[in-house]
Amino acid sequence: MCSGVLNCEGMADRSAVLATHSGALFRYLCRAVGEAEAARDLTQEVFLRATRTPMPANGNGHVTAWLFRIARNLALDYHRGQRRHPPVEVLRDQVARSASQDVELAVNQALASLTDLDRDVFLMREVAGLGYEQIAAACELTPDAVRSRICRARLALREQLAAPIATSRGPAAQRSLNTKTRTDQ
Amino acid sequence: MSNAEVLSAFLDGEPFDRGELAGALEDPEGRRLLFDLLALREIVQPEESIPHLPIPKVPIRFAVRAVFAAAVVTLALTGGYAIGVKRSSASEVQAPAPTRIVEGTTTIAEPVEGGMR
Repeated sequence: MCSGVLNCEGMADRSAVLATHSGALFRYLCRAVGEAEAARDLTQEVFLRATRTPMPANGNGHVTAWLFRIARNLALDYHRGQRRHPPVEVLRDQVARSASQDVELAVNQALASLTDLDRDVFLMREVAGLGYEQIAAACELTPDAVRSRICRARLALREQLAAPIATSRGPAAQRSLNTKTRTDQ
Repeated sequence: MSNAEVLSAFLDGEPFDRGELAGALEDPEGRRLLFDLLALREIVQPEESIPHLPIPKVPIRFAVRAVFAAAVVTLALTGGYAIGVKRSSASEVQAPAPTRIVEGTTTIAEPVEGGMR
């Protein structure tokens, strides 16, 4: 009676799996769509879709990839919707914006400048903590392609976020780097 | 692999060549890149705290509905069959008695030899 979509035997497991991945999914979606509220809604949507489709039974890695594939598709749909119906720009008080908000904005803009695939591969690794194999399964790529895309995204973001990176690196690390460089010379 | 790829794999805990990593770290630009990538990792983490997201209990509701629907269908089919069997055995219709008998003759046309023309 409970076969296919219903998959009764996996219901308890499924809830546990969703609970385990909820944090990583939310964090990934937060950066993928750039809005916490939308990320919350999309995470819920991932849960709903995951409960309506059969869960892969090939181990945790496959389940993780499956959930992130759903999340990625939802994020892409969200971006398509945003392109069709661009949100009305809200005028924000530029003076009142804090430094951390500036960094947030810069990070979101830098991420938006990447291709969809590079951005998603990077975020799945850096924000959600997936391994190359899992990312490859989620994005239908080879692990080698994931490796080079992550590297390319990092280099592009490093260039675009030079100022926040320099601030975040801190003076101690900067001094250490300068000292080491002088020693090398 | 380029220095950047080696450092990237090293940061991610993925397989890399130790010699290539040593070479990348000997280069001042490689070390600078490593620090930058660590800083990048820090600043891209979302600030939003993870909200409490209720896990939907849709499958159980679906399962209950499916079981209920299957029970209704089974009951309807079994009931229909039982009623059909009961009716067919209880009310066997007898043919009415004939009121008059019509007798007639049959004429059969014999086929001509050689087939049809």
